[in-house]
This record gives sequence, C-alpha cells and structure tokens, in this order.
Amino acid sequence: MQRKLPLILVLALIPQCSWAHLVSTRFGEFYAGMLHPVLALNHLLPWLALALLAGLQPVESARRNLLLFPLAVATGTVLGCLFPESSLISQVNLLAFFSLGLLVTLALRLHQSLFTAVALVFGVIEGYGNGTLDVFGTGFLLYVAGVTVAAYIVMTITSAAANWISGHQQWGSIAVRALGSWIMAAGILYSGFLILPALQS
Amino acid sequence: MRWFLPLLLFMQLWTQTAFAHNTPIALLTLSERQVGVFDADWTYSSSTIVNPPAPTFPAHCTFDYPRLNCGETGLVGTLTMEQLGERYSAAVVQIHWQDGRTDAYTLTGANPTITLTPTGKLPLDQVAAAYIPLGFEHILLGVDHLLFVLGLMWLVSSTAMLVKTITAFTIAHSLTLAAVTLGWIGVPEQPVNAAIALSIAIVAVEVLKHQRGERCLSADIPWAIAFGFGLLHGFGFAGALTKIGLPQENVPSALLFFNVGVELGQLAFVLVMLALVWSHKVLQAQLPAWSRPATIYGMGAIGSFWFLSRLHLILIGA
Amino acid sequence: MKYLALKQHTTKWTLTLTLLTMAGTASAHTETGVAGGLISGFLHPLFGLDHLIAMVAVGLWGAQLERPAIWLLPITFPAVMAVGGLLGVAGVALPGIEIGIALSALALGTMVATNARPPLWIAAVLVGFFAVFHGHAHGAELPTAANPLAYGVGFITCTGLLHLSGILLGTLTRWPAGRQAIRGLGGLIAALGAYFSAAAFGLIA
Repeated sequence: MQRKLPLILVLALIPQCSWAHLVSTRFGEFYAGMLHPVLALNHLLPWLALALLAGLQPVESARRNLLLFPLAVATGTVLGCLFPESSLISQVNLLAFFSLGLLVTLALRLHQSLFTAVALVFGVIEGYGNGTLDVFGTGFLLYVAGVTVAAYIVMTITSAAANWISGHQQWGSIAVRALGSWIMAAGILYSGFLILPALQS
Repeated sequence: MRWFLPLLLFMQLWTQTAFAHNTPIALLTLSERQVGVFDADWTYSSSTIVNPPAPTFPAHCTFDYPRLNCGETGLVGTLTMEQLGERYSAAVVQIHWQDGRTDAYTLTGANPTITLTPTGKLPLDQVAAAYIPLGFEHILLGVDHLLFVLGLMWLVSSTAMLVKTITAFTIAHSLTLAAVTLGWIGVPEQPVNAAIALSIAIVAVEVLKHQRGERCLSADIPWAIAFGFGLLHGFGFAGALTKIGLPQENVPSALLFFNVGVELGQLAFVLVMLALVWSHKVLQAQLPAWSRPATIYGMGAIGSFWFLSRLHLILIGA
Repeated sequence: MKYLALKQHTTKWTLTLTLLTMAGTASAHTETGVAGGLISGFLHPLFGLDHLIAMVAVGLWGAQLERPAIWLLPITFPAVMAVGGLLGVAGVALPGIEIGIALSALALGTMVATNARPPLWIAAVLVGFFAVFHGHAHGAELPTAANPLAYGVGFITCTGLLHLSGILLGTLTRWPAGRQAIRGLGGLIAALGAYFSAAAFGLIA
C-alpha cells in the first residue's frame, strides 16, 4: 500500500481536468477567460493564497510578481489550450492549494528568487488548469487574455491589500495569516474529499 | 510588403471588434390565429449553432411546431427557455395578440422564465432579473464605453471630481437612453456609433494635453465633457436596448433596470481601476514613464480607427 | 496461488480506477452549486447552538490569554479542524461527537469564566482536541454537499468569523468592568454547555 500511495494520489487528481470547461460563452471569450479561474474556488483560493504570500514578502518580490505571475499564467493557459492531453501536470494544483496556504499561515519570508520560482511554477500550472479546447482563432487570444487579466487583477489587488494591512495595522499580519490558515484548511478538506475515497477502496 | 501582413491582420482584428457588438439573439414570434391558438415562428442567426433554444410552454398548452394551442384558458402561465446563455445571449418572445396588441419579452440565461398574465404586465422582479444583467453585460462588452470612462478617469485629479464626473456621465446617458426608448427622439444608429468612437479619440487628445501640463478646459471641468459625450453614449445604449426588445407594458421599468445594470457595470469597472491604481502605489510598482503617453496614444489610435471604420460603413451604405 | 494474488491485485486496481472515474463524474458538477455550497456550509456552524457558543468561547479565551494565544488559537484551530473534517469525510466514526462538542462548550466556557491561564501549549492542545470534534461534525456532511469545496470554505469562514466575534468581544478585557462581563459571558457559555452535555448523555430529554 505504501508504494502505491503516490500513484493513487496522482490518479485521484486526474478527474479534475474535466472541469476546465467554459463558464458561459454569453459574455464572449474574454470574459469567459476572466471568469473561469475566479468562479472556480479550486483555482481562486490558491491564487489568493499566493497573493497573500506575496503581500507578506518584501515589496520587491510582490512587485516583481505582478508582472511574472500573469505571464506565467498566460504561458500555462496557451499550453493548456494546445496540449490538453498531458493533463497530469495541472494536478499539482491540489498540492499548491495546501502548501501555499501553509506558507501564508507560517508567514514565511522566502528569498526573492525562491518566491519568484514558486510563483512562476504555480502560475504555469494554474494557467494550464485553465486551458480549454472550446476556443478558436481570435477567441483563443481573447480567452488567454482574459485569464491573464484575471491573474493580474487578483494578484495586484490582493497582494497590495495584504501588504498594506500587515504594514499599517497591528493585527494586520495576523489577519492575513488567519486567512492563510483558512485556505490551508479548505485545501486539506478538499484534497481529502478527492483522495480519501480512492484510498479506502 | 512583408510588414504589411501583420498590419492587415491587426486591422482585421480591430474591424472585427468594431462590428462584434452583436450577440446572437433568437426571436420567437407567436401570432394568435384564433382565441388561444398561435402560430409559432423562429428567427435566429448564429454562425455556429443551428438549433434554436427549446421553449417550455404552460402545462395546459400543447405545442406541435408551428402550432401552439392553449385552449380557452389562453396563453397565461410560465414560459421557460432552456439552454439560454450557453448558446444564445438572449431570446426574444414576441406575441401578436388577436386584438392587435403586441408584447415582447426578453429571456436570458440568468432569467430563462417569464410569467404571462392576461394583461401582459410582468411582475417587477422578473423585469429586474432580466434587464439588470442585460445592462451590466452591455457595458462590459462595450469596449468603446469603457475606454471613454477610462479617459474620463485620467482627466480628473480628485475623488470629489471623479464622483461628479461619473455622475454627470450617468445622468447624461440616462437622459438620452430614456428619451430614445420612450420614443421622444430618434437618431440613426450608425452615425451615433461613429461619434462614440470619435469621443474616445477626443478624450485621448484632452488627456494628453492635460498630462503635458497644458491648460485645457476639459481638465478644469471634466464633468462638462462627461455630460456632453454622455448624451451621445446614451444613444448607443438605446440602440442596444431597442435591439434586445422591450416588453410593451413594462417599458419604464425595463428601461430603469437596464440603466441600473449599466451603472452597476460602470461602477464595477471604475472601482476595479481605482483599486489597481491604489495597489500599484502600495507596492511601489510604478510603470515606466513612456508607458503612460503610449497608452493614451493607443487609446486615441483605437478611437480614431473605430471612427474611420464606422464612417466607412456609413459611406458605403452598409 | 501466485497467479491468484496477482489477479486480486489487478481487480483492486480496476476497482480503484472505476471509483476514480466515478469521482470524476461527481466532480464534474462541482462548478455548479458554488453559491448553494457556500451558504449551506456557512450556515452549518450557526444552526447548532453548541457549535456556535464553543467557537465564540475560543475567541474570548484567546483574547483573555492575550498574546500570543489571541492569534495562535484562531490560526491553529482551522488546521486542526480540517484534520477532524478529514475523518468526517472519510466516514471514520468518531465516538461521542455530540458529547465532545457539548463538552467543548462546557470546558471552554469554564476556562473563560474562571479566567484560567494554563501554559500556552495546554490551551492549544485543549482547543485542538475539541477542534477535531467540530471538524468531524462539519466534515461528515461535506461529501454530500452540492459543491464540497464551497461547503468546506463556507463552514471554515463561518467558524473563523465566530472566532473573530469572540476576539472582538474579548477586547472588552481592556476595562475592568469589561473583564467581568467577559467572565460572565464565559459562565453563560459553560452553563449552556452543561445543559447540552446533559442532553447528549441522555440525562435530560
């Protein structure tokens, strides 16, 4: 059983890919791209965790992240739209969900290059998870632009808010860490919900 | 010649954007032949989808396309349109009654059900549920309106002035939207669209002047320019609303809720923009100096291009 | 025999795979019902008065104990609660859930009422112990929720906000009169906890 565990974990994560469908084409591809990660909690919560983490880092890291994370997400989304078969990579999402929450809870100050690396890898994976097969031509560009803009908006506003509140209020950094622990708890429960049934069989 | 291709592609893209303001709408016309018996007729256009959405009529009606028989009770009760939102932006149900009255109802994915009453009057909450999302959707899909609002935000220097300017814009476009929808005035759509595009270019020029430190009237009293061009943008909203269709018995309330939706969308846009500006300040993430004029020039270029392409449409009589 | 073992092995894998695919079908609906899941999760801790008062007591006690407990308790609680939730998700039967929750209200209320100041680690272990019961009670219903993730987020958020309201009430401890009021509130929570405990043990109807 011990040796099988990693494999089971990986397998348990596969079904997630099927979610990456368009929310609605009613608003056009741009907004479909923008709403896709924001309406799905399994994307939004890890994004928020990364943004909170960025807010707890020195401001240089957070600032650099504003540019790099959306770029990474854009790259990932393009990959996700082009090569949806090798979907295994996108499932590291679940691990990121939990571990980003943990990092926020611990309020770890990472070395700038380490934080950037985490953000880039996570961005590509997340973008990949948001890829879709339902867009073509101009729609494809608009969709990728939408996901990227969503990444930029969520990252910018949340990390700035976290940075400001932890710098200006005594209780600020504690509030951010508490939010981090909530996200971590959600990550634990969600991972359990997806993985436990498979382990028990 | 090689440089020409990207340019052509670019122009192609923007021209598409200029026209792309039409979302597919399906129209179901029901004409009453005898009391309670209707002829149904679908009109729909969509490049990718062939089938219209499927309507579900009140239980006492039997529907065998193209004949709808509701018996003596008549067409009262709930009408639902499934699959809306996925394929069609909205569906308009037009009912021509035997007595010559015509009613039009708009159903959307968020609000796929209407309740038909003998008088044709819709409950207020149903009108709200249908028209607030439509207004919201319209402004968020209308890049030209958003660009103009962005230009206005650039012109103002204080929060009080921003509130004044946005309010002026709101009042102005509400006025013309109401005036056109209630049939007090009529304006041709194409020149309005061209003028809206021109307004973006003009605001871009004003912003540029303001940024250079030149004294310009529009920065001193931005609410005036907002009001003036707001009248124009209201005509644009009216055009969209007329296309969507208004329930004859509920014109004032539908108009009100559509406008509420537009304001909500506009407010959301302004708030997100302000939040982004604040965030950049907090994180000390200043963009390079050239980026600001570049953006304004870009905005002016897009406005001018839309203006020219829309003017071209008028000239060739399309 | 060896062949048979192999075969069993394969069957097990096939079963796992099938179940996984089924999990996939179930998850495919997960993007729907976000609002419903959030709301039902959010309301879950509010419907049980025993839950509610115990959570407020955590915040109150944290405020009484001051730093670092004031933030350590609300931050560790969700994590430990999630572990309890995992047991609930897995369907592991935990004996005496209702009793544990009722006792937690009694114990935490008593701590607040007596202004007890044990070493931090004892406080953390005590709160953590009860957090498992609370998490289990919420987690058990997670797999059946319209949207499990949204349900989880809902009840975590609600629990956190209850802690927060306890902490905010706890700021009254800055004033002597407020300190007494908080202890009184703790006494009330303990009394209610005693009532729920008695009910859970079947002592009263």
